[in-house]
Amino acid sequence: MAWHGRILRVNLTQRSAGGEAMNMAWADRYLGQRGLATRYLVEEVDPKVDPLAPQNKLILAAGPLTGTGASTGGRWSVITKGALTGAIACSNSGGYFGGELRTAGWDMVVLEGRSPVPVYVLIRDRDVQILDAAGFIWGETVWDMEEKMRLRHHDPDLRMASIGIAGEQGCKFACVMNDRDRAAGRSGVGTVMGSKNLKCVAVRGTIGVPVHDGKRFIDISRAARIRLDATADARRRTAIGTMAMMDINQAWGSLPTRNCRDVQFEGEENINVAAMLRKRKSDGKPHLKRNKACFACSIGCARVSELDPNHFTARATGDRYTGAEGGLEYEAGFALGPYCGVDDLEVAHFASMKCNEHGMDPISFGVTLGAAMELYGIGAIDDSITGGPPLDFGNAEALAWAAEITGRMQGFGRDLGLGSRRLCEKYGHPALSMTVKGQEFAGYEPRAMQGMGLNYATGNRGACHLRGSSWAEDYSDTSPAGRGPIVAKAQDNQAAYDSTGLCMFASGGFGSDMVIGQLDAALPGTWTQERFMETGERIWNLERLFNLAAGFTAADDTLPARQLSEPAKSGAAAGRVNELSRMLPEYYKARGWSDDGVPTPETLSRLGIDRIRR
Amino acid sequence: MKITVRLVSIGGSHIGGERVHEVCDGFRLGDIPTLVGLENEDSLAMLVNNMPVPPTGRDAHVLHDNDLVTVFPPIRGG
Repeated sequence: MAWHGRILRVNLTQRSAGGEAMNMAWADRYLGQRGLATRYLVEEVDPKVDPLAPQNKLILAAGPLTGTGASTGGRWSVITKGALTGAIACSNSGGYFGGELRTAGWDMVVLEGRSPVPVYVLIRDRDVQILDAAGFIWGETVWDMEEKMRLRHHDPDLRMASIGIAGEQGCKFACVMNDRDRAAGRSGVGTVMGSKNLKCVAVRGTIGVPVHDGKRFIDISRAARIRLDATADARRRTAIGTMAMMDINQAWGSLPTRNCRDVQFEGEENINVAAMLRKRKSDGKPHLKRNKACFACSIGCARVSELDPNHFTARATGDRYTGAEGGLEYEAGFALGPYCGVDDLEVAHFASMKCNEHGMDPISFGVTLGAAMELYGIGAIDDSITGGPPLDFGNAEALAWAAEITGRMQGFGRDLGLGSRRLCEKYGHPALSMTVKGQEFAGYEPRAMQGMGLNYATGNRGACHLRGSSWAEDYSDTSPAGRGPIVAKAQDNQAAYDSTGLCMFASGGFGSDMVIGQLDAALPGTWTQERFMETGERIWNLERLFNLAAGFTAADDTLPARQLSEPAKSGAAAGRVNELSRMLPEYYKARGWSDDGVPTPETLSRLGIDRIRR
Repeated sequence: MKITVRLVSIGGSHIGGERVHEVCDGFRLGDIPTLVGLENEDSLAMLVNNMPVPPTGRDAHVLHDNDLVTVFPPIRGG
């Protein structure tokens, strides 16, 4: 079967580590990665716990297809109670860490307690050590840490999941980083890791990854890859990457701009895919160099860019940032561009690199900075508070400055590191925070994308575009009609998919039959579309129960007042607001929840959800 | 009559582009994918003069001189 059936449990308080058998009955019902780790978290963590207390746990989890060689099968996730939100958090990453963890013979790592001193965990197959990080890698950026680790341990192929300085210093939206620029980015999972005094989990594996029916798995994964690679969707992602969304959202009028005051950006053409490909006037070279891929991926959507050596950020920082580095993806692009009113491609790339090396989520950082710029614009904060360049929308210098001080949590960066909700509350204007359950919006405007608004409002980890939404419907018309059941089903599908080890960018290209077929060949038993969807619904409901037990209610399934009462100024949805109150009852009904958003006993019984700590 | 078709993140270059087409009177929005060689795309989002037209209304939607048609794939972002 596709499982080693082994979990590594690391107790940081006691400085001990050991393997244990994985609960295969839970794996049967919750698949792996997001679903299985959620089941463990629900079992072992009190939902009311302070996210930064030693009693919270941090789980690094792979799916059954992670590391198998299935195309895009390199995904892994971090599951915990999120520091940014206080809700259940599941943050998904690519790169090479997940495949390496599975190759080392582990399906999951449960990190618990809190070390009294900074440490890191070194895994070489079944050999696990907990080593001191102070005086070595504690205090280092992600980039410098990775280099030092490979040198000390004489292994250029060591793969690491780590935090940067942002995570060490308590930035609420710190990531768990891997492979220099890949991130389990959202909800403050890196902040939880930092609270445990844990800098890094490094892994090197030589054991390999088993599958249940090897011959059938190789046949179907090959057929799946061939189908995927031939699709227009995959070819588009290879050619232009996720930044394709910048032009699409500009065209539709769903591009969050200037803290969602606007839904289209007049400077968009300076920061889109065409701008990345254009030769710069300063040095005659294009910004974009090439694409790159995560483990076993045949798409390669990631971008590699080079900062203009003549740009003011490069002149101020020497050659540290002018080499080929992970480039802008759409989510970083919108947040570090239109959201702050900045149309300077080079400074957006610079700020994105700062987010990577300091280990902070560029979405939350950019959206928080956009809120700060609005606070500055209305006079709620001023230069005496910020101590930096004028925090006006469009000020590229302010963006570069803010990225550095937030990543290091210095000066006003400590305020920005609180995240948008806490920042806006601190300065008396909570309505200016574009968040749900404390998590900042992604790059899709809910007034122009009604189903996305519903998905944000009901997201178990707060506002998130990756939980499943009505993409095709939202880009067909701007009405809320029928969105409730569509969004619920999409969320269930995504919850199951996030538990496989595959990348969501391949889901459409594979088609559901190939996703299920690969699972069915890799795992014992029979996997069908019906079982897959029921598993997703089970996961979603279990996450919901955790949040309800943590204190969230239906009142938290909402959007900021701006989306509900201020009409969009332009685009396809000009004059419209998000009609959440119309969609939410349909959504609850489709889910089998009460009018108060609580899963009914009948729903829980149907899904076989047995217990939740309260 | 002349219409302008703006492709966004789609087409041969994958980036898209804008082009003026000469079409006959009565030309319908539902004929646009064939006109621009995108008949094999699974689904497309379309706006006429920046107003969305859902798939169910496209075969009946008659275009007019100087209309701007915007076409893009409703892909999932990241």
